[in-house]
Amino acid sequence: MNDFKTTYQNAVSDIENVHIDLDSVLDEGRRKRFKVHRKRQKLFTAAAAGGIFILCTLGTSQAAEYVKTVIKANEYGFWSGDMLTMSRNTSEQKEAGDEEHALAGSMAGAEWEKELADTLKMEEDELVIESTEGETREYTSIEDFREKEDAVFVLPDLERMGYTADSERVWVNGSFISAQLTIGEKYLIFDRIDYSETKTGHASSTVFMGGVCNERTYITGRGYEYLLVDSKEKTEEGQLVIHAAVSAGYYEIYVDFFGFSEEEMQQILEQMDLSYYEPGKK
Amino acid sequence: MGQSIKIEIWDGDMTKEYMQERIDLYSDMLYKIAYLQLKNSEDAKDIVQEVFYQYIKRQEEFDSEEHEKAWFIKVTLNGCRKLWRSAWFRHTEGLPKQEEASENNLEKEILEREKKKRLLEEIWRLPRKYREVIHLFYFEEMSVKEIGEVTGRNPSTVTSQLTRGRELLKKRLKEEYRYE
Repeated sequence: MNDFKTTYQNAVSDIENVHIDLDSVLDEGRRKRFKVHRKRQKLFTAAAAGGIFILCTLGTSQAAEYVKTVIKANEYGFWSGDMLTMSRNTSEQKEAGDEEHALAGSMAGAEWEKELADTLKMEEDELVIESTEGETREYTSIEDFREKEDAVFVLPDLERMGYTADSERVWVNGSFISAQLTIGEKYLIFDRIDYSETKTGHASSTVFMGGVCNERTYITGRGYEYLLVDSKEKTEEGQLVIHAAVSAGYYEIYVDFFGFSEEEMQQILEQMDLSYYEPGKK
Repeated sequence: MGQSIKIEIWDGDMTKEYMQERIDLYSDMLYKIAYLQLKNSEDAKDIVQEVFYQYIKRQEEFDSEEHEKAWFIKVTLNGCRKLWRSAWFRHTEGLPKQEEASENNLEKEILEREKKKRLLEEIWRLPRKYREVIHLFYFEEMSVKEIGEVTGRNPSTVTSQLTRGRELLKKRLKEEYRYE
């Protein structure tokens, strides 16, 4: 019989050794990038208490009867779904004994809040997380992303607005794309989810740590109505965080503004041409 | 009685050398802890560098080297928890590359490598809390009490998590292991 301890120690010892340089430890540029990266991940991390992002891609063999997606806000964040497919999928999944999908499918209206409250009580490691399969591809510039991916992903022309991004990162995982742009002390996160390949309608929910408030809408010059909320909690640096959500075609788009004023946020949204997400309009 | 270790205010090359020595002393240990938690080398390095930054800024003295080591482990685990990834951002890397097997005992080395690889894969499948205690117990050879102190858990909880972690490993690993 093998000795677990010996085998484990040998296995871990094979992990590369690293040299950490004192200068890199003290490099303030590195620290800043780390802080921004960490905030980004916190927003999209399933944590024991606070922000939970649960994407539900419910699958059945039936073709989607697409009903206009509605993104709504509640005290925790955003949720979306077309009621017809969500209610149908919930009952089908329950019959199939798929409790996980039933949980996801029932996330609508008053039931959602109860389910979320129960979920938040779960221990971190017991959280049920629905996710897309496959690896995540990461790019360190939008240019690199555009060169290597052919997915539709609308971003504003920040240079035209006088902004220069200090850093850019883009992540691609299946139908989900996310970008983080740092502009001085401010930063932006753009997420888009493509439901065109799902066999049913779609449902998603985004929860922000500490909850949200001040729900309102903003209609751009192109006629797209964004749903807006503010995070109740400011960032560690005292920045206000505004969250925007809109659906266009088979896509859902979410934008998070860290440290931007209402006016600046509106200007950025005006720069986003969402008609690229609507078939036949481009 | 342990030696009291105080972080002097930044001044001169001697202090820089001392800091680099401490970094060299602990970086591998902390990197392995972080890597096994985060499954990503870049994030693990980020966490470790941030931990050393906090170490340099810390003004309080450590009572002993053991106290200092415990502080490092605790802060690293806390940092990893805050950076814990969801499935969305699971861009985990494959297991670390290993050197080519020597020509002698090739088959044996390959089998040994596969065994270690399988074991680490199953360790990574464990819930994060079980991974923590398994690593601290079996690799850092810390006692249940010491693990409880750095993780902020009761010794009974640590024992329970060790037991459950071992049970999961026994279930998933085809090899029979002795787990004392």
